[in-house]
Amino acid sequence: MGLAPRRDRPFFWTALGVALVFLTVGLFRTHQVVKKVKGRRSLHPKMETISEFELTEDATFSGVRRLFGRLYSTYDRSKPRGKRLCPT
Amino acid sequence: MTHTITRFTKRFYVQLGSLVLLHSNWGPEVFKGFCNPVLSCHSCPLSWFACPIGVFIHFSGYHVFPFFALGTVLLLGALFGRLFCGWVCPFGFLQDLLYKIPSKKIDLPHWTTNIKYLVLLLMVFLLPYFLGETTSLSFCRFCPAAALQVTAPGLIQGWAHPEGVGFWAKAAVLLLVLMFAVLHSRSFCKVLCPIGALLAPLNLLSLWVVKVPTSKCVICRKCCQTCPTDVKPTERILKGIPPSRTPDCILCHECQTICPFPDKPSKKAPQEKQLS
Repeated sequence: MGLAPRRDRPFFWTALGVALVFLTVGLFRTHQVVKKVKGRRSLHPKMETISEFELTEDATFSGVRRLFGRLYSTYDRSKPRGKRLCPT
Repeated sequence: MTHTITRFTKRFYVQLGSLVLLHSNWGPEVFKGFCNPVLSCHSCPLSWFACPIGVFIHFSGYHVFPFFALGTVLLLGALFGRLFCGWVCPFGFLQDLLYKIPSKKIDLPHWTTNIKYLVLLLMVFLLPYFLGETTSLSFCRFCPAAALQVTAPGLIQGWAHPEGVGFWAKAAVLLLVLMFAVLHSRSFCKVLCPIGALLAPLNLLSLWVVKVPTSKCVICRKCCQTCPTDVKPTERILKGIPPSRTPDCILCHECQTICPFPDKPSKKAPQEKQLS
């Protein structure tokens, strides 16, 4: 093992910089999802703000779906969180 | 030879340890929001981390740029290149084990290594973006890791049913991938893996590299023979470039291990041992 030669370092620092910018943006970005309301549909659905970290976690079990340009939560977020099996 | 065996065993144990550690039920739930750049289905309840491919597919479907997931993969890729493929990926470990099965071995044409970039572009980004994250044409629907980790246990437990074109397509892909893993070392990693495609360009600039001394090279080509991804390390060693500076290297360090003239003169090389 070893570290990259000095001539390759500028490319590494560039990639690292881009990665850190992406991570910072991702850490602070939030998303609006339509809250799941049991049993009824409303003309003015309740919105919920979730972090990108949560959206990433939701993607692991299809916790959010996109319909007609909006993101819809597919499960009740008030329930305790935990490892869930992907429904698909 | 003892030197070689020690190092190979070390990688084997790291792979085995990763498999057990990262696929165990006691893993903290908070890790599911992080992407681990290895092919391990996050739908498996034992999996600690999110699969970057699954996350990218969903984000493409959501029409949201995956800053956090892509940032994580870029960060790890910039630091370590494809080191995770060689040392952590459970599917890579399975392929390593399958290749040990004695059988006729085959070569794959070099152009096939470009298929994975097409898979990444089409089945991970473009098709889910235009057809939605639940499209049956996304990579997840054919993913052999998902078939092994989720579909197969589902069949055994009785909640997955062998019906529909999707199921049989997934099963056929899994069988083909396993068959080719016996015939050609790391065939899936080289030809189809979208995580490999994502990390491959980062191998060219990563901080972590494999180092083999240029001045001591006697062109014995032992490194070429031992390389699991057949990336011909000698060509780069002779040019003074680290052998891992190629998209398909998985940084297994086997070329460095097998080298009869290793980097540190304090450790005796196998030839020197024989002479003494």
